[in-house]
Amino acid sequence: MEVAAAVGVDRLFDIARALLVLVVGLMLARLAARAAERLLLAHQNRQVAMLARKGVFWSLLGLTLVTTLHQLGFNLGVLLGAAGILTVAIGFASQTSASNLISGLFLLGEKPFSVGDIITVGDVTGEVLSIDALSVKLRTFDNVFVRIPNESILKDRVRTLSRFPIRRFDLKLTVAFEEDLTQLEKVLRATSDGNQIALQDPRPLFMLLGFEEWGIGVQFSVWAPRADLFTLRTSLTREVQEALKAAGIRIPYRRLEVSGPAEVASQQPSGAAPDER
Amino acid sequence: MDAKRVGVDAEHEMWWGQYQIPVGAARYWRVGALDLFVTRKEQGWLVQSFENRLDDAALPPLEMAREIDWMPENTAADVVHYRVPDQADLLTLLPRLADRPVVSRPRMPFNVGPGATVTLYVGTPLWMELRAGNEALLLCELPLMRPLQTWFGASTYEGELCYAGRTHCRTHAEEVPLRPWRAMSPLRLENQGTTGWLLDRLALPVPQLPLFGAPDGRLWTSSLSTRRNAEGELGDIRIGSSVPNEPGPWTELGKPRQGGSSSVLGRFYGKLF
Repeated sequence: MEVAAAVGVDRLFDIARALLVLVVGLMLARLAARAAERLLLAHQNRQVAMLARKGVFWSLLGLTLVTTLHQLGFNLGVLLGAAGILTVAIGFASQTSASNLISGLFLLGEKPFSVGDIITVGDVTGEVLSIDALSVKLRTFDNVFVRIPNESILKDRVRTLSRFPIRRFDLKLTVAFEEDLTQLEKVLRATSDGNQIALQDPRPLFMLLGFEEWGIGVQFSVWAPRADLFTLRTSLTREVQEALKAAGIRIPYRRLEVSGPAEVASQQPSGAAPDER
Repeated sequence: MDAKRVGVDAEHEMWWGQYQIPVGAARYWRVGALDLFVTRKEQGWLVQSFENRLDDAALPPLEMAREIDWMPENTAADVVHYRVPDQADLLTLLPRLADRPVVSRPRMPFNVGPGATVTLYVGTPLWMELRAGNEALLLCELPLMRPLQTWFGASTYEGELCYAGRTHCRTHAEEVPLRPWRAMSPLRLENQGTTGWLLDRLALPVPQLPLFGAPDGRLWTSSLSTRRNAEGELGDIRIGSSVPNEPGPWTELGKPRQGGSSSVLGRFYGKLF
């Protein structure tokens, strides 16, 4: 009877010790994770710090759990063996997640973008909210939350729009064949020279794209600070339109000359009707 | 009530200084391309500003603290009501240099001959700082002539956003017209090389320069100097700490916005020209 009572008390002690280890371990894991995050925030970006916090926390939590189980008298060798079999089973079942996890690690190493950047993946463009173990979260400009699996980011072409401080806007237009191209260049350059957002250097590029179906193709490329690119697109397009109108330079309508017997030409089939470009 | 100006000589074209504006009164300034209307309210200031799009040469003469009894209806103007705790009637206007370097291109090619030393007077645009009350609380900064922007760097991904300007490369201070919406910087260039030194563009690190005012309304920065050695390499730019060499007396109107040469300009100065 006494022996049984002593065993019961011993068992209670074991459980109490195990609980103590668990509580202290949890607290330690939290403290260490926070300390690691704070330490890394000073030198690294938010993403790395966040990852370090999670890594430290889960590692210490694992250790605590193992120690707690040991205190309770579990045979860890058997448990680890079972865990090995379980890992294989889980691994087969969660191939996609594992692939995303590995891709996430590659993404962190390669750093094609970081939190706060504007990126385009496939047909989605948005601001990076977080780069997590399995996916990257974006906020699109119309305020939609988009989750993109890391694997598809690694496979797909990613455009980071906010990497460099300045960007170029390509204004493409077509002018009538009979227009004076030297005057056109002067008009376009005067427009960009007067625009408050357009950069004076690198110089705007005036390029003739060649003879097109309805006129001569022209590209006028102007640089602007990255944040002002959309404002430039609107203001420059408006100013160019006004300047071309003032200079009498025409952007041609689509025309189709129909030749043949008079009665056919005068019929004007619906497909040949001039439509505005 | 008269627009009372505190402590400055109103005969000259010094638009900066302190103005006393009683509650309910409004004043109008025109400096450079800026039209400024300020109304003193019970608990703050109503500031209406409008930037004209005019060239230096076409700018109308200065208007300083003209009394007005109406605010023009200009839909393109910026109107802001500043509510400040300081109830004093004082409005302080101060000139400020640009917050970015200014890259000036000579209007016509300028060549510093072998062995020659020349001082160029280069103008840079100014901003007007509005401060209210005895404690001179900052209300806003307005450009007196908004400059265009440009990029200065070795490539399109390494460099610095700057303001763009044009310079006549004047070599005599007295040739420089009085333009109180611009600050002049004397730039001393010494060519020790055996070939000519063609100036393509001049990048002035104005955020690192102090600003001085003269009683005749001229505004100057401290002087700058650089040299090209016998091998044709360009030296670092040196900023003189004292007041300009021109006749004074000078009043220091503003400290440099930035200390040291942390900007890209310090490192890329060799590619400035």
